Amino acid sequence: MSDNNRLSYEQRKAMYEQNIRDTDGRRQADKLRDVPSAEINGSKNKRPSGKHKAQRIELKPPKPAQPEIKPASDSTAAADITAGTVLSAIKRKFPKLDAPLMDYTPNSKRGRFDMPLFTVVLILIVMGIVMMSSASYAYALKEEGNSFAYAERQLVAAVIGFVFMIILSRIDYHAWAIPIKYLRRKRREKAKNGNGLNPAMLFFVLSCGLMVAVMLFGDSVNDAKRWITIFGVQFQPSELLKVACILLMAYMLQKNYERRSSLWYGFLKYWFVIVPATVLCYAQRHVSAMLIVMAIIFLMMYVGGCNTKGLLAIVAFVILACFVLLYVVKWDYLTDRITSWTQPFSDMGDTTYQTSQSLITIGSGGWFGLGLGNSRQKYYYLPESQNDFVFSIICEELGFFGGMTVILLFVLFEIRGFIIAGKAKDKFGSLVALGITVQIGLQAILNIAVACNAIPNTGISLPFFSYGRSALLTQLAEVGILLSISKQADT
Amino acid sequence: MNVKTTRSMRIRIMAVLIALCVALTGYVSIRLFDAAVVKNKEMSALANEQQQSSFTIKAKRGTIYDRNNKVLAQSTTVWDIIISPGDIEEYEPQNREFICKGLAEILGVKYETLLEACEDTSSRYYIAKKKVDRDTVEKVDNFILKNDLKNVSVYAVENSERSYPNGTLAASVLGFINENEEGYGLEAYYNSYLKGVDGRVVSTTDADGDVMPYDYASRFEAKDGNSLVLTIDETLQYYLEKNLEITVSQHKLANRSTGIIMNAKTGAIVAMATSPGFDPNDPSYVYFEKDRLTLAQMSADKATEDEILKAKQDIWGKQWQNKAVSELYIPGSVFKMFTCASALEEEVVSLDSTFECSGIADVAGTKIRCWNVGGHGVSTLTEAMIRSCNPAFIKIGQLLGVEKFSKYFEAFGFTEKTGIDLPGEADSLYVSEANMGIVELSSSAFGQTTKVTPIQMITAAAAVVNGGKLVTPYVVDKIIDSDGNVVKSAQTVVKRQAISEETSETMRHILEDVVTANGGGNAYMSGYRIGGKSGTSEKIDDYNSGKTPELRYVATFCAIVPIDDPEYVMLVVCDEPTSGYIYGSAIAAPVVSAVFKEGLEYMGIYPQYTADELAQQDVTVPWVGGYNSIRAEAQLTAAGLKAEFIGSTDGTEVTGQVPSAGTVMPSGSTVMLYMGDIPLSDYRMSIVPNVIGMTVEQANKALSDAGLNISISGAATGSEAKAISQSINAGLTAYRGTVVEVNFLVNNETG
Repeated sequence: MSDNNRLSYEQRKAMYEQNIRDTDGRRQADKLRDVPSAEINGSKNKRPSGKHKAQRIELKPPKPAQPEIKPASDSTAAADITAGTVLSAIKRKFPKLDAPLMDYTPNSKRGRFDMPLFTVVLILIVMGIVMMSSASYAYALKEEGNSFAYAERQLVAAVIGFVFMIILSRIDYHAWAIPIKYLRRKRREKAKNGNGLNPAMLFFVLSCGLMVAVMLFGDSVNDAKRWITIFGVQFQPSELLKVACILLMAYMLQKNYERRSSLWYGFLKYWFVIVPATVLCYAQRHVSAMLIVMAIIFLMMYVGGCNTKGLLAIVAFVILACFVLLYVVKWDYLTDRITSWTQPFSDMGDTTYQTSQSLITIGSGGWFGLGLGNSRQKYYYLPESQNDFVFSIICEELGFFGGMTVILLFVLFEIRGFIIAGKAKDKFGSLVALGITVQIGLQAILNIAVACNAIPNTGISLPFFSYGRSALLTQLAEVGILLSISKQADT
Repeated sequence: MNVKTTRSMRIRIMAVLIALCVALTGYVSIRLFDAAVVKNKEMSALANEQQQSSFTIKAKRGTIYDRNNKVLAQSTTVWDIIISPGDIEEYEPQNREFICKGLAEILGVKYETLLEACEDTSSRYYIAKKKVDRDTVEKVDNFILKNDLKNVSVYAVENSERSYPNGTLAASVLGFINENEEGYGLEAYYNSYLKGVDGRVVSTTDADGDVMPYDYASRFEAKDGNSLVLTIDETLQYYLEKNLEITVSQHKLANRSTGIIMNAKTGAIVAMATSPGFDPNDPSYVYFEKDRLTLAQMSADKATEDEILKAKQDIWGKQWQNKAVSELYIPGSVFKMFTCASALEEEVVSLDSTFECSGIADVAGTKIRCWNVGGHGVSTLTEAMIRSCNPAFIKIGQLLGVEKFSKYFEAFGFTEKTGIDLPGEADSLYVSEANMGIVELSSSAFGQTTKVTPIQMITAAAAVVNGGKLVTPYVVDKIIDSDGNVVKSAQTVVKRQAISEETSETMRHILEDVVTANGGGNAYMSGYRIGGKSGTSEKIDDYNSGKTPELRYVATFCAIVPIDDPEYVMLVVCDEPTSGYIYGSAIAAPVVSAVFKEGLEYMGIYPQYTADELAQQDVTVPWVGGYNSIRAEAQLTAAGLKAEFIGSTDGTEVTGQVPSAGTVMPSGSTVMLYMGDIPLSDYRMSIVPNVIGMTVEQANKALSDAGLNISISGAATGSEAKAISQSINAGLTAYRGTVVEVNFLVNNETG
């Protein structure tokens, strides 16, 4: 889409001279003249590039017809209410909205995926495996007799994940939001709109089912059941749930964008996602996962432009809840955490053991660290050194510079992720990219923050670094989706 | 419907990006910088603390040798037996009683004590018994092995023990040291040299306590302590201590005695003793009988434990103190040699000066008595010294004047510490020049006002005779490291020239005259040229302050040998004799004499007899049995003895002789020879006369009149000496010719 006034003289001259005709046989110059002014205003953000992209955008199917929103019926009709009338009243109140029918091309090869992001991810994976193998060296030797037992398994997961990532990057991400019935190419023509059961919904239901299954059949680790073994592969369904939430939320936000300021469509409807996800996480005592899911959903809703009052209400509620829990109820769990946070060396034998050991580990490193593989704290002083506290080992071995390198790699990842989100082809892609980027970025920064005691201790693993095959696979799959979005993005 | 992202969405994405990447990441980066770089040192220290386990390799404490490399103090390895009640609780609580029972038996410790200790399961280090030997350790090891016990429950830890093979010998010099490195004597003074540097093995261990598979372990070898080679001679030290001990009991000294033998030229201390001393192997035992009786009396009087402990601590404090350097005494007449030397140096007197003594001197209204109440009449300087005449020295002091007296007082080092390498040297008490009036000057001149240490005294005495050089005394000759290399070697330090060589020469003559006067005082030994001066001081301050019930005395004697070329100075201080004798020449001089008699030849000083002395030499009676009369007489004459034959000398042989062969007696004595068949019952008998109180001449006459021979013991043969004991009591019968040993003593202040 282009603006007549904004075309440079040279462009217009070129178009004119080349007398470009579009597929419908009309000349470009004619079309430009015939564009209604409203549409020009609505898409004024789109600036034409010098590479004739403007013409390609014209290829999108015609706009679906806007459904007519009927005004609410008279209040007198409510006198004789039957079940049918209630239903129809609700239907009138919440008229069905057609999901936008997005452009879906299986195995789309429209563009190259985002190379900088891919490079950053590759560096993160390689560095992650190297550091994790160093951090797990002692535990692996002690528990399995093979110093590289963890590293080998992580490497296998990384290879599989990498393949997974490439496959997913080659699948058009719209496939997650297109109703299943339209997924097949020959049925696409019949599609009137995007309504119907789509993979994102299915994925969400499946994840929730697995979450329930974990609570029933899961493998007990410590006092919580968070792991389930299916076909000999142990994994954490909460990882899947995060992705599922992102996909479903993105779909819903895109679908309801037009009515985003209404209370129901712009706010309350999403609680159908929020409530099951948070409740299931909380039921597993997986508070960190719950907080991350909540944060992602909130940020997606914020970016998706949801009901401002609702969002403000959430913020107000969270602040109030924290205040009440801390100062009125004085919830022991929370106050203890805060105390441990402010005084990390107060109870080294017990509650602040992890944090104090992490601080000792990071502090041993100094500017440049003890050298790769020379960590001493990994010899059972620092618990979970291959997992939640792998960052501390990085700092011990590679010092502040090593730690900052990791942080900067994640910042690069974030920047690329947000650029993809900002330049994604459509709202769905944008929101999915945002969700994935936020999830990985948030987990990374929160893990690092815990390691250097910037926030109270929560069990969050460091993406690409911490040991955990299901997590790594999921993260690489997410990167695959992100890459797929980047292919169609105007980056 | 527009599926595109909108501008507002992109703005919000930017907002999230900024929040996440800038705000949160920035905050975390700052915290990371704080944790990694700012707290680097603090955290590294904590890391090392928990990762590094180190154990100490104890350095071996240096040995202390005498000057002939005989061991005086050394460290030996012993073991402590440790029980870890915590580990017993953790690994084998069922064996607790069994372990305690077994250990109680092996170690000889009470079972109940061990069991009680083992019930405190929070402890992991309880010392069941300290300082056990190798055998006991092996027994404990066997006990653990045989019964399949854990070696973390009970184990032995190496320790070291200090042992002093000669017991009490030189204890006050050697001292001892406790675990807190507090102590006495050389052990404390040279602790930094002796103790060495403990080594450490530092290894990095994982949280389970196992060594990490890295080459972090580093070993810092222990550096064994350096050894001391003293100037002390074990043998002379022994002679000194033995004779001091005899004097302590003989004269019932109430406040111990001390003796020093010093090299007059170098300041090296050859022997230094305090008697009674203590055994550093067991320093807390009370060694002075008098103190033991006091303590026994206290507990009999039902004194509280605190009182007894306090008394004990006072006694210990004294017992461990080196009297020679840490206690002050009033020098008395020995000090006259300094007054004399100063006066000669300043030429206010000469050898020809004369002094008059009426037995009492009036100094500005204060009457000062001479020890000889009758007075000495007119004396020359030498005579005044021999007679130890107080009025004469008051006069000399006054001739010197306050300024010059103080100048020499300082020159002889009485106002400063000698700087001997022993701890706890006391500061002297004296009247400063500004406060010194004529009375103080007068009493100071004969040594009755100032209080000095014995070591100051002997150092100053050395300066008087060695040519005027005041040296710094020292005990440690050299310090050698564990490989035998000399780390530090003592040098003679001459502090100053106190008097001139000429004055010193004059003083040597005067001091020799003091000893040889009247035919020889108590310190006189034939064949040796000995100089000296006795001293008897009144402990007037203790009497005035009520510390002692009656006026007590300090008897001292200072001797120099050989006086013509001084090698050794010896000072003996006997504090508070209560035997009735008080004079230095009577109490202290015999100690000097006895030590010299035993030790001079050992010290490399051999007698050189004058013709007169040779004639008076003791000789050994030769064996003449079976000889005829002519041959026997010739034999005895050759030995310097006379023969008296009993029975027919014609064709007979000697069948008996009195005294028998091997007896030592003065030359010129008579040997009774019995010729032919004379039964023992027919041997001539004599009744031993009483010679006590007689002079040498009188006793000799009395005994020879009775047909007996005399052997003179005790030093003095001079006219002032009186017999104080005889070996065969008066009234007993003895074979004619038997040698009676008579002990003579000069019991006054002369000499």
